[in-house]
Amino acid sequence: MLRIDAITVKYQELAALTDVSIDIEEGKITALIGSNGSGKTTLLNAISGLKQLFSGRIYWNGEIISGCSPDKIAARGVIQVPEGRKLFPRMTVQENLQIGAFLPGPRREAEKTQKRVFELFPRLEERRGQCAGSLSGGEQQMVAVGRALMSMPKLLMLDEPSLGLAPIVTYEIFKIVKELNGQGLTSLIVSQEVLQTLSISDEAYLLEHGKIVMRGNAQDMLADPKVKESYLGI
Amino acid sequence: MNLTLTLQSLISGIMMGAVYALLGIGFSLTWGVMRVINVSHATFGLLSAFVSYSLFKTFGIDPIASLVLTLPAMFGLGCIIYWLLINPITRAKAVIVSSMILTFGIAIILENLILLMWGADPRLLTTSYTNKVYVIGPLYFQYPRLLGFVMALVGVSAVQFFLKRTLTGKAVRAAWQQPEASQLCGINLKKISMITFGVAIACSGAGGVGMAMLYSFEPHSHNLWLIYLFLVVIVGGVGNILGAAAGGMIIGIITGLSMAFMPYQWVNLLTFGLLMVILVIRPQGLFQSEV
Repeated sequence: MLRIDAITVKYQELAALTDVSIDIEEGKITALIGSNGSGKTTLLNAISGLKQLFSGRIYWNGEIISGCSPDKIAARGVIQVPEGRKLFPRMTVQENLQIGAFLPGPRREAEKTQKRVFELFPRLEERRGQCAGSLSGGEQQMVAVGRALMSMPKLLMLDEPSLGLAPIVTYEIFKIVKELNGQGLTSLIVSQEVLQTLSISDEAYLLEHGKIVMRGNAQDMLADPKVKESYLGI
Repeated sequence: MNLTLTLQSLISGIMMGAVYALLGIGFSLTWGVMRVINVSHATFGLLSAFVSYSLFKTFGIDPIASLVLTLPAMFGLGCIIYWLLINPITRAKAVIVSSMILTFGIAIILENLILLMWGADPRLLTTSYTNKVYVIGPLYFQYPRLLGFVMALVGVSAVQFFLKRTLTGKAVRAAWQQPEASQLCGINLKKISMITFGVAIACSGAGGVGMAMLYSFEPHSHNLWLIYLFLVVIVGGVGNILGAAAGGMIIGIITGLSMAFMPYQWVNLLTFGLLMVILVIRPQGLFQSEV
């Protein structure tokens, strides 16, 4: 579905990603794990078109999307829930969702999608008239996921969805991602929360210093001694 | 103090201030949304004033009626200017400074273009109703000012409606509050900025016509108008449309009252003195920045 072919991304002279290749299969949850500063967010921003590639290509269903502007990539259904949520703080929950359905396709379905989002997150319906900036961290993460769902994603990419959240909220978010996956939504989760991420994922990649050092079945990786030692502290 | 005179200058001030506000909202918008301080904002308003003047003198089209032509034209002009000149500098690190230098150049070119086409003489937009006055009790309402006030009211409400109620307007706010995330939602920053700039220049066009109905104007009038723009934004808060509206009226009231009760040469001293006091006490403006 999404094929990342040997991309290198640089900040000035410094390479943040070197020769990274990833395959995301339709209908699966793919995990990208790695410590802080390993290049995970850079990778998502490269896919979304926010960060230009130095070399390599990104294909979406066989079509090159690297080099397209972010709005064109979003229009194909490649949707990111950014790190730190990045909501529109002085707009209401409802308006945030509405902007999520900005593109013509999602706009036509907005009413139906919003109903679904409110079913997933009943709390958002209660808070629909409130400014997004005034919500708690967990509620904000729900808005961020809701906003992304409003864009009718074919691939949902979540960047550190558990960052700064209480364990119970994190659990809830992961549960919903798994539930959406059951309904056929392909996902890419980027996280330092290795145990929880791997346990809901099918495929996994381990990123260290901008390079893929391990790839494979998520459950196998969970059992891998190196992963256990470096990332799970067991 | 004479009550009638006070009330009268208050009314005049509010009406003048409303026109400053109309001229200022677009300036506030581009500053707030795009970090572009458009020094040529008032010059576009002046251009629109001269165009309406010519349309009136040559074809006898009323300046208010000609807004139907000038507003879309100004919107289009704004979009073109954005696409060709402003967009390339928005990637610069110091957008605010580079935008001021660039738009200063645009202002000089426009001013000389106006000079070339219309000459240096001061103009007065004298319509059939210029000297018309409504009298209510002891108070009188000059028709052009009333018209300018209504125009400003409509203009400010329209922009406010655009930003708060339409999807495109919401996208403008989203793009300002969170540029990256707005792109992830499928908003094309370049396009939305272009629309914002077009709307801003169209507002300036309406404000310019409003100013032309109140005062005489000449090719360098925009320099004075620009000072009022800064006043409006500093009082009203960057990017805050209702703040700009309030800011315009506050400045209008101050000038109106000081004109009535002080020697003329003190008027500007008071206005700018007050501005300095505001800047010292509340550097972020009286109202919050908001879009």
